[in-house]
Amino acid sequence: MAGASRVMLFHYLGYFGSMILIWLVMVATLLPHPMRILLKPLEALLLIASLLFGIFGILYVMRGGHRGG
Amino acid sequence: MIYVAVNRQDLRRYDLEAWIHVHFYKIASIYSIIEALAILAHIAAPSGITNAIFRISMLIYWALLTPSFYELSKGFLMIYSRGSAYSHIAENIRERLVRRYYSKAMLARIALHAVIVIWVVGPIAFITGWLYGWG
Repeated sequence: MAGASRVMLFHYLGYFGSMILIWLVMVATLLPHPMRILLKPLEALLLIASLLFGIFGILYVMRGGHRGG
Repeated sequence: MIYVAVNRQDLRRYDLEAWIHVHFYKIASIYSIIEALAILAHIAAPSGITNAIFRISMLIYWALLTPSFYELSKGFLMIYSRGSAYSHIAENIRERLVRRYYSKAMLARIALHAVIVIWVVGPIAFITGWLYGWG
């Protein structure tokens, strides 16, 4: 149970993180030149969030956690 | 009539928005790995092609996350308005709640429109930057 909870924690971290970060990356593309330095860390964070969302989502289903109707 | 969704087929009839959210969420969950690969290619090997793939994949990912964002916003606003807005409850109960939490219900209805506008600003900025070469 604790294992499944941890898997879902990372999954939701990626899910909500993706939602916030995709908006930030999109808006950050319009930042003026000196501020554009923020874009790369945001892209890297979105990469991590996307991986968490996908990999831990698949892991949860593979472990038989998804028994919804 | 009180109607409760007991499985996915029923959910479609009971609440189409929720049904769309469930399916987009599942597709987004799988698609997020493609998105991660597109970002990785864009960071590791910047070129015209990887940049175009990154841009298109970002727009697809945004579209897939849109129903989730909408439902999430509605959920938080439902909590904020004590169930007087966006809840699936009997009309007579809702009327009582709206009378009691009128300002919260009104604010929740306005706030949903505001957050949708903010959400849509993202891809508009992204496409504008792309078209005019700022991004």
